[in-house]
Amino acid sequence: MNQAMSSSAANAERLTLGVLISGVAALALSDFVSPLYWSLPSIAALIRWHIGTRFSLSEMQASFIGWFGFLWVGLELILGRAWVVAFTDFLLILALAVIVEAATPRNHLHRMLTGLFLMLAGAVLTDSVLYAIPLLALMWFTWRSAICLYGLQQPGGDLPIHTISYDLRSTLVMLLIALLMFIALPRFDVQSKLQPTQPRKATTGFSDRVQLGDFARELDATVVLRAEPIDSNIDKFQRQTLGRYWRGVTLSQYANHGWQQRPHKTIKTWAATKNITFARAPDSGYAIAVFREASDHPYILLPDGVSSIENDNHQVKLDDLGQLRFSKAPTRRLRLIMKIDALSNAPIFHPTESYLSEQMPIPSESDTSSIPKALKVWVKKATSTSSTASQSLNILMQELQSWTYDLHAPIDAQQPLASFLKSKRGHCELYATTLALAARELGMPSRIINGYYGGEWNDMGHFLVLRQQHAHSWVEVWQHGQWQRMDPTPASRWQLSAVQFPAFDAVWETIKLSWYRYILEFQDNDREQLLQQLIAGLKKIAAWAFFSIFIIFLSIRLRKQLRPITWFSRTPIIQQRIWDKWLKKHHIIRHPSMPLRQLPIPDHIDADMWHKLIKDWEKQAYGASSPWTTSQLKRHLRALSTSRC
Amino acid sequence: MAYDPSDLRLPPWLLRLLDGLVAMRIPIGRVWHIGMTRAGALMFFSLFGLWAAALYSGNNLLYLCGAMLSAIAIAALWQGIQALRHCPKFGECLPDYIQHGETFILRQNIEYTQKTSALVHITWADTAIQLHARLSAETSLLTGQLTPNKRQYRKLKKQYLKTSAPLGLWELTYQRQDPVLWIVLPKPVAWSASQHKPQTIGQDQPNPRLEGDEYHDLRAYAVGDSPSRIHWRKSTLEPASWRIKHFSRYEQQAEEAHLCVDLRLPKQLANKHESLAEFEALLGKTWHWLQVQALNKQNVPTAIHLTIGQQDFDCSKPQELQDAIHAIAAAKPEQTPPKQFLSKESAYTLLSLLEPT
Repeated sequence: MNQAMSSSAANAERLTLGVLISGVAALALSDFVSPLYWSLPSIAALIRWHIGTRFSLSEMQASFIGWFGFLWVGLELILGRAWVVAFTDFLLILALAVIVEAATPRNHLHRMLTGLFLMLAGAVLTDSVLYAIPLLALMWFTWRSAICLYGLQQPGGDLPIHTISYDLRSTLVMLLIALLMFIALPRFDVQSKLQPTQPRKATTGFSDRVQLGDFARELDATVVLRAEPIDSNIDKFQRQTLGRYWRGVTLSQYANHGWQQRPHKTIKTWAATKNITFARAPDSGYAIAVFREASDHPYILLPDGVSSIENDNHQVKLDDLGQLRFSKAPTRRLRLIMKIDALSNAPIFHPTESYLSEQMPIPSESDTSSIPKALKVWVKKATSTSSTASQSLNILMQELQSWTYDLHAPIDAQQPLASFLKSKRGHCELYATTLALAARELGMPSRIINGYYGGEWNDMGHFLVLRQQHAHSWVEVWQHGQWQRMDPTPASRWQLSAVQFPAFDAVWETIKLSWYRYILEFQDNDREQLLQQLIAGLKKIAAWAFFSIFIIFLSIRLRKQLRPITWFSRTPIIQQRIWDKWLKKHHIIRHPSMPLRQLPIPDHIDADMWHKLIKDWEKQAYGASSPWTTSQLKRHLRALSTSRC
Repeated sequence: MAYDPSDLRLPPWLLRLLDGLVAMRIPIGRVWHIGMTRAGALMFFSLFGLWAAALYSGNNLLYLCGAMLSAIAIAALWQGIQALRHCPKFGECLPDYIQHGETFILRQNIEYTQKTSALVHITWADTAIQLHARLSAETSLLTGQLTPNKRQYRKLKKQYLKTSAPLGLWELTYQRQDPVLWIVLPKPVAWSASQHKPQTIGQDQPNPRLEGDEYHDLRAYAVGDSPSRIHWRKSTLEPASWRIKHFSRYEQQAEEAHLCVDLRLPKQLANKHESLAEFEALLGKTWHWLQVQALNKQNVPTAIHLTIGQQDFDCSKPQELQDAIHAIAAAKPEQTPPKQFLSKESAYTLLSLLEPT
């Protein structure tokens, strides 16, 4: 650091740099930001931190960087870059300019304002749990740097900045205030573009078209959704929710070794703020909160037995394929409150009699034109002994379930089903496709459903996690006047997992869910719930709390009463030992009854300071001033030792 | 303070607007007022915008940012309040008295128990007294330059403490009771009691010429001593080292000194300002006499009496000496002659603006 700067100015230089870097870190969490843009100011800040103000440009030169950023962003927009990406690029180039700007009072202001602005931009462009770290850092650095800047250049010189340990207490108080404000302030929930967003990430298995050769061969631990109970007990939730199918896309048309949706029509539309209820058992069951990650598809994953969904802000449509989806894919994480009944494998859409008479059988779900010859042969061979189609289908399913689940089985892209039937190894789409086409071959309409199955239970946070690795395909077959689920995939599939550190992952997922639940998705009704929980908790511990308060009160009273009884305390004994040790070090042996004032002045000790210390010691020992602590005595003795004459 | 929005080269109209806001003081309690500094105004508007965005959007991260920044502002306010509430009583640090025209430089270490560093501006209601306290956990210093422009005797109570600590955002004003006597004595006017004719018949007038020019002793300098009496060869430039020549005639002073001050104004002094100046000079002489007689520690007469108007003080007693000093500071023109004036029994020196009859 430049020698010409005072220590307070050097402190301010580093602290305001901290404010700015916290802002950069917050924005860097957004997926909109390219690593190149956030690494530039970060590297510049590190150099500035290390080298000091020698690494600086004049205000004019720094402003050129800012203007360059402006023009660069203009160019980016002309070239078709998204405005939000261009905006973040500009902010980070501006941050770079401010970091390398000459150290002036104005530069401190620039840094604080830019840091704050970056933090606010980060609030809109990310919803990562890691945002909490730069936010806390920004609060700390802002507080310290403001204190430091306040003390600079005051009449009589720079004011000393108070200790970090004292500030830790202040920080705790500030956090408490912030928490109370966060909870207490009302949410008006007006939808706007300032809601935290993240780029919609593509998810596998949810396109309207699936090619059998395109299957991801690696298990993916990316979380798709988390679900937790609201008003039911955890054991019941775990028991009833863990083994459910989460229905997503319905694919009916098979052609060219791939599936796609058939033309479908909307059965029902729910406007925003209208709760979604299903005819089967409206609004019954127990409530769960589903935290859906941002995704590029508009489908709502529906667990088995769902009876209603609270809908706050989105228009939702139900089609005749039994798919429920948003009119437009939401750009951010969502919390959906669902009610689910006991396990049921029937889909949510129940066609009416008139619908059935008009529509069933649907040609695309009975189409056998694309069934490979190898499959037809296999069906014929496997079902030669069975009498009915249903019986044959069950035989085929059992046969398939006895095969081997293998993500890495070699599949011939030209003839995927033939190679699968030959190797008897493959993944769930191959199993589902085989059974669905076999059902059609047997004369039963069928389709495959892409969704999720099972999930993993987080013991720490008591919630269910569905990951990409839980993506699954199964079959629905039209039997006995309704769609019935059949799942030919071998059970060994569910033994596989890509989670490498399950214990760490459980903690991390719990933190993330807590962030979504208590920060990102906190709403007015959560406040009421929190209050109710608080009151319930207080009621539970009321007796203990009362007893504890009584004990604390009693202790304080007793302490006050017992304070004059000095023999109760060991402090004087310890202090006498410290004295004796110090005197011995200075070649004086003292009898315990000998007053200090009668001792000779130790060698090489300043006489005035010695007498003053003895006087002050006696003063406190006889109660004329506040008693010294052991550390105070040690400090005085150290000062005496260093005052050698 | 190192951060001021004017550093951002804001347009003058915006700075004027900021200054208008900065001048505002809003009561937040019986004895508390709050205002903003320029940086505070910037913070206030930032928070306002941030909360507006948060409330409009329902973005909980914006709520969190707003809550964090508001917490900083509230914590700063709280620490500022604590710093002012725990300020020591500054009235005790003021001098017992000060002379008109004299500049008193106050620079005193004070005890401060808080850990928040703060610069506190201290004033008393309806006075020009201004002090500054640099408070910190390490050393705390009270400084001030007191230059009273008139004789005063006031019981000051209402004190105002002002600070923008610890962040320089909020200008807090705390009104508290810190009773102190503010005594400004008149500028001493040097005169010799021996040149005044004693009012008691039969006492010899000492002849200055016979008292000798040789000094008898040296004593410390006291305010009001004539520079001509400083023994420069035995003094340095530091006023504390100045030695004053003590002439033999002072030894011949009477064992009992008595000054009677007539506070009546002459009727012929039509000009009010002129009469007041004369009156102040009269009190200046009184103060000088008292300094010579009672406050100089050497050759103090055994009995010193001072009669000011209707009040009579035995200045050999410390309490009455204090009262006499207060009486000089508080003296006002009177209509009636002093008590001693009517008494023919005791010897005294009379100071009066009236022509002797």
